[in-house]
Amino acid sequence: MTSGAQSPNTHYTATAKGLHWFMALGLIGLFALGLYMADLHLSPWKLKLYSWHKWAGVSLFLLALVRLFWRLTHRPPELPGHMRFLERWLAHLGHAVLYLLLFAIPLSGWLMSSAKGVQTVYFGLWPIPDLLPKDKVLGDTLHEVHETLNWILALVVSGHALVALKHHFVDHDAVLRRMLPGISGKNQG
Amino acid sequence: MDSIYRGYPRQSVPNPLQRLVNRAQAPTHPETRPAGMLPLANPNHGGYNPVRNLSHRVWSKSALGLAGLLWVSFWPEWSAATEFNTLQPAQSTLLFAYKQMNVPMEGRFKTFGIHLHFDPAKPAQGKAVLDAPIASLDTGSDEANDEVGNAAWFNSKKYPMAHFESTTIQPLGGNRYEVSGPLTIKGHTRLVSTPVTVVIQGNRAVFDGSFAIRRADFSVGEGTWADFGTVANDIQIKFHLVTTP
Repeated sequence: MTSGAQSPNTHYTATAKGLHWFMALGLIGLFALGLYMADLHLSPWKLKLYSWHKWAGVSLFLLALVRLFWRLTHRPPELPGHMRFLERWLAHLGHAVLYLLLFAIPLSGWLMSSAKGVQTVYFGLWPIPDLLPKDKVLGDTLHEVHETLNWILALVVSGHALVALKHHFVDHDAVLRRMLPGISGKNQG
Repeated sequence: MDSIYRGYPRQSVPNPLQRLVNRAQAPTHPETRPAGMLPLANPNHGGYNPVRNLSHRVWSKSALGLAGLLWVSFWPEWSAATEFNTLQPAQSTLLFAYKQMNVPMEGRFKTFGIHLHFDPAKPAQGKAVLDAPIASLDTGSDEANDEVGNAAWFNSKKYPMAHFESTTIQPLGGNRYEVSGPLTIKGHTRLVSTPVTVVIQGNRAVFDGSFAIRRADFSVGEGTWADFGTVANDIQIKFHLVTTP
């Protein structure tokens, strides 16, 4: 809505790009860290990694809130005109699922930490209230939920990246370029 | 003393089946104590003579005048009580709190035995002997429970029990006492003292208290675990003991 009806919006704001790429790197890092740390034998190193994973997860959760706020207050560029109805529908669905996972995954981690009885203390300074009382069975279930949601995210993100590449190399449109840093996206509709 | 606990009431309540198991496992009989431990107080020491104790109490306390009168006014309630020597394991808890990456954690001993004599009229002559098997230590996570018996932590094969024996009980006024004595964990003995609050309700005496120890004093958490940045040095011990005559 910000650009008005007479000149369609053709680019993402620098803030939207920054949040997109920062969170992309953060999610990939956290995903890899999560896979690595879960199989470690108990050690001080493992306890540190778990804490760092949680602190980074809380940070990405906060950024997801900022991002949702930004998305709701800044209209993103339109999808290219050549896309068919089903493609548009899939694109919107994919983005909705990605946003959903940006919240569901940290939330599942928070619930899991609570149920496992290991509270999250953000940067070791600020205790975040537990959402659940300690419950071993529920904690194990939430562990599975957290892991499964992450694999779904990995799948959807892979699809997201592949489709972006398809837009660039097959459709030759601006969908990928307009999200790249340093490109204003003006006149690239 | 119990600041670690405030705001984190995470005490888990054992289910009824577990309670029965706990009761059955609690090493309340002297013959179950491992070799090398100090002799335990005999819970059936007997010898308590209410008449002798009554006359002793009245004569010594009435000399204190008004204080004696106030004390005597409590007599009807106290006269019903003898000594509170029998632990009710199902209602009692022995917890420990510590910080891991600055996260408050709480664990407990699933079973423990304590031999008490406590005569409310002669608290200073009371005695408490505690034996807590390391094998019953529940840190709250299976992963850590698998680890605590290791040489770096408690070396439970060599030192299967934590042991405490009171040597002095000092009245602090009211129903509060300071209980001191040697605590032995992993072959290391340190003198500890703890405030204890005693509440007598009918035929039950409830002892509550908490005190801090440092794990390094007992070489608990050696090698890579010795760094207090991950698992803090300070450990808060918290007990809630329900006893009956």
